[in-house]
Amino acid sequence: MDVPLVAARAVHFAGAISLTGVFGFAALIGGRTSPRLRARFARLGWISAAMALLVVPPWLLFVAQNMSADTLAATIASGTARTVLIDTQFGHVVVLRVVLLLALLPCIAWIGKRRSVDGIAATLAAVSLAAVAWQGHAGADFGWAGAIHLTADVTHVIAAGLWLGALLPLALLLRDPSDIADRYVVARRFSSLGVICVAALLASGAVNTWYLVGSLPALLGTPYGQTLLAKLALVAALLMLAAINRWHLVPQLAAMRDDRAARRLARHAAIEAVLGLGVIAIVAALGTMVPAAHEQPWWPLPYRLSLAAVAAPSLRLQAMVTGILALLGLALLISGIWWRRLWAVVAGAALFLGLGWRPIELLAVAATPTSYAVSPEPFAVPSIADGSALYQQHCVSCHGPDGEGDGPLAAKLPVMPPNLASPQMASRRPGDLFWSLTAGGSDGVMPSFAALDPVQRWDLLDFLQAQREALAATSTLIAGVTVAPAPRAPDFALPVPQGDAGTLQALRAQSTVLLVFATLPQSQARLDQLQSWRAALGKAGVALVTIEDAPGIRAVYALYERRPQVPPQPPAAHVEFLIDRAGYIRARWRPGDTPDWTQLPALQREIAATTQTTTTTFTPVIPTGHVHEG
Amino acid sequence: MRKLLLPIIVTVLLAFPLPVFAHAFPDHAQPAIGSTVAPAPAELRIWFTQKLEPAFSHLDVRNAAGAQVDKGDAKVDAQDPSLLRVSLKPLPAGTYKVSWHVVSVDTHPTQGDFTFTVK
Repeated sequence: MDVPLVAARAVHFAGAISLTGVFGFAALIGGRTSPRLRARFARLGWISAAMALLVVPPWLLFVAQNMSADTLAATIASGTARTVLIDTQFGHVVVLRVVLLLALLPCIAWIGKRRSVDGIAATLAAVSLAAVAWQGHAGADFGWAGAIHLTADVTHVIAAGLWLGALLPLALLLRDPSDIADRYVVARRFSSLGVICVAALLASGAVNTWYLVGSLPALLGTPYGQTLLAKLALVAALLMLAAINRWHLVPQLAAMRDDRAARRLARHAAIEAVLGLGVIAIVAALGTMVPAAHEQPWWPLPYRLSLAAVAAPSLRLQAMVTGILALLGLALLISGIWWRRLWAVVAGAALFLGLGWRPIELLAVAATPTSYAVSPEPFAVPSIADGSALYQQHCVSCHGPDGEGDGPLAAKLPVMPPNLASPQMASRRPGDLFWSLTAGGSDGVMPSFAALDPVQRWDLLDFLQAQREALAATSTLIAGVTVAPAPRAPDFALPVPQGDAGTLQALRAQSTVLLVFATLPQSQARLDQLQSWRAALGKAGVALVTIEDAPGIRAVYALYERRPQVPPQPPAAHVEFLIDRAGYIRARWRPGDTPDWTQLPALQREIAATTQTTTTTFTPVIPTGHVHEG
Repeated sequence: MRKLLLPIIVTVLLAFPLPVFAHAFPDHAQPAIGSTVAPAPAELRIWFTQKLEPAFSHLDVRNAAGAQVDKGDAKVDAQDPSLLRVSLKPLPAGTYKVSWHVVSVDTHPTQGDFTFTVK
């Protein structure tokens, strides 16, 4: 962690949030303020402004250092901070935000005198604070996702400013020995504002979590997610105090007009402010970390819940129904405690404890630390080819050429190697298979391959996946279009880009692809024929890709050339594949196969069949490869 | 209802994992990462997963001997802030290494390299 950068961010955020809150409090909550209280508000305002503004130069310097990946001395010497200020989005936003803060400085001297002045200052502070969103993770996203993320960020920081920042002014006012009735009105108003802010914070926080974390494994199993959990724990403590204030102390203040209740409320507000400072410090760190959605999660529990672990539909239904009822029971239990209703507590506890174990028992499966890890490599020819070479080198002696556990050494082993092509293997998560490769088998027979680079281990799994899909489609992948099972088409860079599509994946997203592996001169007649059909094929929505001299791609696609009851053959001189827009290989034709693709109507029929069934039967293959190791 | 909020949020998060990326990494490139191409390209383009800071985003292309073969004009595209491009000298057959170092507009630096081959 970059401590100076995080510290600078924390000081700046605390100052900016406090300024928003102080003026927001003066403008929205108000109350009769004595000259002494006004002086205190003003002092708080000056301190906040100093924190927010004076830390900007060092902050800029640390950001510049971080961007240029240089030493601090070199960053200062080269004037990188100036470049950041003038040439980057971060710099532009900083300038805007500092100008807004400078503009509100005169208002600090006037605080509490005129509502309109307080309102202007609060707006300036809030806009300056909201602009922070363009300096963070949300500012770098595109399109709709970026807009939603930005909206959530803006909402989040303004709500945090109005709530957390107003806690200190609230504490100051409640401790001020003025009219107690006035203090009740203020506490009541603040409480209402707090509810609105907390609702906005929870909603926008959920959106941000969705974008930056995205899943439970990422929340539990990455540094970002765990730091976020620490923040949520502090927020939970804050909310508990706030709830005591709202439902206990404020009514007490109303009923008794009691100075002690006011002082206790003030103390709670001060404690909340300190907790809020902790939240801000954590947020300052989070903004410098790699978001969890971007990292391989390290699953911390020995079990995980998986609906896929239950095969029978009736048991699945049972798991879901009992799970939902148990959650309802939990909600009933909590609300029973809250509203002090014994029947609700008893009924809720009975539901929760009586049914809660059932879905866990049904759905729990053994997990490994890498259960939720995904391949950093796209499912593509280079990865599968590397994996194939590694398989021949390290695995084939026991697992056999097709992974069926019939390698030459298998007979001598104390246990049979499992069939890597079996459906049981296919149902295991890639991350769990990755763990088997990394740690070795629990039986002590399968060795650990931790010596291989993680990327190589993923390559091996990509190869096994391709091989498994190819074997499963042995009898369905023929010249007539198959609905299922159909293997995914490994991606590769097109030797000649077509339009703006440089890869098979980009091309097949636009149109069905007829992929032709040709050898000259045998293929010449067929290539001429296809060339003469180009217009007709284009009209049918088919892009033609011809590969003549790319042994790497050819070797990987040879996996999909198997026929039932025929031992694997060397790659044919000429073979064609129909690949649908979802990314699956749907048909394969070699000269002599029927239907005969040398007849244009026959080929057109298969193309039409591919197009018709694609959207109904197949979920598109989502490109992977954006999770990064380490 | 409010008490059900957290379970609902957790359930929703569990049900719809959504990949979103906050550091810039190559989405795709032309010539494609790891590809073999012919004829030699006149330009290299890398599309990143995020918008880039032009002042801090660089790349160079070197041949097997380590000599720089780009024209040194690497820049972020004026229209597409996620596209980094550089012109290439005429490339003879061989394998070329592309090294990139970029900063996304949320200030996070990332770097990496890949190769492509001219046949």
